[in-house]
Amino acid sequence: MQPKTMKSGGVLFGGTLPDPKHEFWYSHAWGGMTPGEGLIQIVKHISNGVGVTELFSKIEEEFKDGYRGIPMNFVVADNAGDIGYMMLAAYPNRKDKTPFIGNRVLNGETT
Amino acid sequence: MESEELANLADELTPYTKNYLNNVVTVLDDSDVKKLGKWSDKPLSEVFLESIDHLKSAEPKRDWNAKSSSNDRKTNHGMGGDSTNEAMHSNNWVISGKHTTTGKPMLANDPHLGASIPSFWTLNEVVWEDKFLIGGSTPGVPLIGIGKSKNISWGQTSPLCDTSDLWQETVNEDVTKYFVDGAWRDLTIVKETIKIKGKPD
Repeated sequence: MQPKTMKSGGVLFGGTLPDPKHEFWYSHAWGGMTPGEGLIQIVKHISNGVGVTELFSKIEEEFKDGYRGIPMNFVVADNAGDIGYMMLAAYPNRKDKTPFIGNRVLNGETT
Repeated sequence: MESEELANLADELTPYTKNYLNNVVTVLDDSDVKKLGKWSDKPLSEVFLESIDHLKSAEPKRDWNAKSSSNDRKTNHGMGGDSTNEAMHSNNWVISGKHTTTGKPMLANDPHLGASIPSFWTLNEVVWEDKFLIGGSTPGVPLIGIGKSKNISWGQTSPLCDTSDLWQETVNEDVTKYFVDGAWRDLTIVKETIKIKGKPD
């Protein structure tokens, strides 16, 4: 079996990465892959006509164990004049604390 | 295409702009794409990947197994890569009704994905009972990601945060095991069925 090619790797995993090499196998983990409804659930609440305050309490209740989904800067505003911002993201707790934006290729032979 | 020809084409496409303003779905159909000289017989996925190819910056020389350095903070900004290209960085902001003359809040959301054919965004509207949702959606995603309802508007941009990991793996010949911490472990094979209308699984 041949490794699958990942033509758009540079885009999917951060623009500064070269395309993953075709002769290797890769595994990938991303919070956005966690099964669940995420933004869909939030938009369902919006559909039901909630205001900002009610929406945020619903989000906090819904994701009390932590938001799992596509990371996003989420902004809202309602007819009453209220506004809100929430950063919805789940961060891995890493051994290597070096600040980093994007993705780095790790050695899969060690945990 | 000459500039005069482009201007004529823009005039021809004007009805779409009117539709947009009237909250009607705006999508270029095949004939529009052919007129623009962008028609391709390639699969849509390939055309899309080509259309975003410019997002990839020049590939840096990199030791893939090296530990990240503090320099990464300056050079790696996720999608788009080139941190000097501000056009690639999305933004959103929201102002409370307390600070506006109308008493209503203002919200702006610009994901900075650039113009492409096929378009990344399509305008969609859902109306039921006395409610509605209208906003931008993208093919394959079953929801309106950025939009407004009767009494609330919402937007989202990418925080470009480090929430994913990519490992280079060592696998055996028939790809049933992977090597980690000095031992071979079984790979878990997960089979996904993607249903296509009119075709068997």
